[in-house]
Amino acid sequence: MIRRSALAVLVLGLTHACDAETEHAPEAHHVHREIAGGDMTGLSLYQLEGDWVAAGAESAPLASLRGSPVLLLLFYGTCDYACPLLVHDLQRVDGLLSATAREQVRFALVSFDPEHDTPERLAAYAREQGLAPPRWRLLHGSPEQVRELAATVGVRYRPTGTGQFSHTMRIVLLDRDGVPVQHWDGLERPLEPIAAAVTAVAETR
Amino acid sequence: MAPVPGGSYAAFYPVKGEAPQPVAPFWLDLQPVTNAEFLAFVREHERWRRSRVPRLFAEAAYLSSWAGDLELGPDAEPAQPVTFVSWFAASAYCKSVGKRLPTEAEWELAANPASDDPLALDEIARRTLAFYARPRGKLPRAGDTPPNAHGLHDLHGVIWEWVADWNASLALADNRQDRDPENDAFCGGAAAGASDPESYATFMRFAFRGSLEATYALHHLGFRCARSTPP
Repeated sequence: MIRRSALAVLVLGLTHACDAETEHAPEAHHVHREIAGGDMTGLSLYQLEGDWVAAGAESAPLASLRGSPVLLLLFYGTCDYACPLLVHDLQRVDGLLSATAREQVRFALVSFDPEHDTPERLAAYAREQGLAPPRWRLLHGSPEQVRELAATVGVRYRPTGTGQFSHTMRIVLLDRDGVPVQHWDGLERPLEPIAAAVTAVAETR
Repeated sequence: MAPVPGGSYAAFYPVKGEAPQPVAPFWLDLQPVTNAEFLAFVREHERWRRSRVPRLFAEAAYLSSWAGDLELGPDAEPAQPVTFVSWFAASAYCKSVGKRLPTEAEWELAANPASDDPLALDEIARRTLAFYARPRGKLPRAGDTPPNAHGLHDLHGVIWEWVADWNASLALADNRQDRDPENDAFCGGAAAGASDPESYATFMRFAFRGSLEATYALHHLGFRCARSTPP
């Protein structure tokens, strides 16, 4: 059994914070490698309860993404710097996918600013950015639901009280069962590895 | 539960442009949730039993001080605070009793009541730091330490406690927007305020929350619940 003292965790945390600060080369992290064969891991995000609403208005439980490889991004609509770049990166990844992968993949964009990013505003954002359903799904949930989802994929975020958020910039790949298999942090990282990972999930049955 | 007046909470390490946030009055449990209380919860809610909980919601150490799914055993006395609980489990417990986890802002306001007695504050800070430096040994019974000005027990020097928005801490560490020299102050931050034990204890909590993941189940990490309306 793994027993960590609180202090050890604390020290790790501090180290991590400083590493993140000085680290310039973005890294891909393998969270989990099992891709096929149902969620034997107990790690599927589709266990999260709660009603999500897709851009527009229809109800869209997370589990409705089951069966597709998913690229998940937490963002917010009024973000003027990092989020547009990340969304653009996802669009470029889309362009790098094999035909099989492109057909299957879904892009799930979840706002951590549910108060401002209503389903109507998300729909407007999707139109402006050319994020057409059903391949692109922009999701609205309660603040608690968003906090939970973020927690499961290691995304941290904090409203700054000025309408902006400080947040982790992370793209997460979910397998067909909703298990996070890999993630990529930061901006300006190569996109080919992301496309290759999505294609690998899409071409595994 | 005890009422806690609202106020203004300034993050220990604010991100650029972050203003102190207003906190509405709320109610907070007098003491941490105990093993006995958590046992009653898992009796009723099977999915939160040690052998049933999905890995998404708790790591393997979840409730590992208990003797079994529904048995506390010698290492977990009924009146001790429950520890080895993940954030998901703590949230689910609070929800089951019509409450919620306190936010970081609420917890810090409740734990640091305004006082005109600097010696008392200094004593609390020293006790807290002694615990944070060496969180070991047998846990006291919940409610055993003297209450603070709000009538709340065990906020310092007993366990770490989950808050609802622990994953708001350290968000700046990987946000390029916030990469500025101030961040260096954080990385060198173990020294920040070291001459002032009170702020150093706050820094320890801030850094600890920043190191957590939602599934962590740790020996000295427990929780208490809050409400926005009177119980």
